[in-house]
Amino acid sequence: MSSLEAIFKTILANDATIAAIAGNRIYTSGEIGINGLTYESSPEVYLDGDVLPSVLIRQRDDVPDGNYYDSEAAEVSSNTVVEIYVYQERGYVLIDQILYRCRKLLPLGYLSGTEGIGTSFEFEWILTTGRLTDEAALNGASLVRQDWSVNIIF
Amino acid sequence: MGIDSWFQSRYLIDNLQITAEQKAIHTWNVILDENTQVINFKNSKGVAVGNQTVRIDSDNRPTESKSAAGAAPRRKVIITGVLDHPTIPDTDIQEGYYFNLSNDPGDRITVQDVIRGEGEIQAIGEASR
Repeated sequence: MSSLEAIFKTILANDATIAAIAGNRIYTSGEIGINGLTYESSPEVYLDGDVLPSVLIRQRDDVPDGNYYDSEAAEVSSNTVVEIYVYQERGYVLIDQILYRCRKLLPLGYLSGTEGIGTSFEFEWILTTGRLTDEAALNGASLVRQDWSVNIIF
Repeated sequence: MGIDSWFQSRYLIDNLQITAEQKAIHTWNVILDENTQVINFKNSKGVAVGNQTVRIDSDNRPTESKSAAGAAPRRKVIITGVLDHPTIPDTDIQEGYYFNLSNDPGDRITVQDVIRGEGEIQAIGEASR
C-alpha cells in the first residue's frame, strides 16, 4: 500500500527535468525525520551551507466530501490536498521550472486502485503560492508551494 | 578654579582622549582573544565578500521555529569586527549579509542589524537552520 505523497514523489522523480534540478532531494513528509530537512537528517540538501533545489511533498487531511457514500460496499468519497513545497537558496528560477513541470505532469495522474488507496479522478491543481521564504529548518531559503486536489472514491 | 587652570585641565583631557585607532587596536585584541572565526560573508544577493576575521559570541537561550520543512533552533549572535585599525582593513559587514560557520555547515547566520562605533563594528545576527 502506498501513500499519496509517495505517488506524487514517484511522478516527480521520474521526470527528467525535475530530476536534473532536484536529483535525489525529493522527499515526503513520511520519510524525513521529526525535525524535517535539517543538516543532520538530510545533509544532501545543503552545499557549503546553501540549500540546493529540493522538494518536500506533504498530504493534508483526508476529508469526506459527501459526493458518494455506499454503506454496503463501504465506499466513501473524500478529498485530500497534497502540498508540494519547492526550495532553493536564492531566487526562484529553478523553483519555477520544477513547478511548471508539475503543472504538465500531475493533471495526467490519478489513482488506478492498484496503489491500495482507492481510485480517483485526475489530480487537480488548486493553487501556486507567491514568492515565499522558509522561516525554520531552511530559514531564508526561497520557497513556493503548489497544492493539488485528489478526489478519491475508497 | 582659575580660568587658566580650567584651560589646562581641558588641554590634558583633550590630549588624553583615546583615539579611534587606539580603540581599534583594543578591539582587535578582543577579537583575537577568543571565539575568533574567519568568515567568508555573502551579501544579500549571495555574492561572497571575502574572508574576514571577526569574533562571534552567542546567546545561550535558543528558541525554536517550525515550518513545513521542519523545526530549527534560533539563537542571537553578536559579531564584532574592527574599524579604523592602523593595519587591519575595516570589517565589511552589513545588514542582510549571511554566512555559515566552517565547523557547522548546517548553521546559517544572518546579519540583522549593524552598529558602527569608534574602533569597532558590531552586528547582531540570528543563527538558524
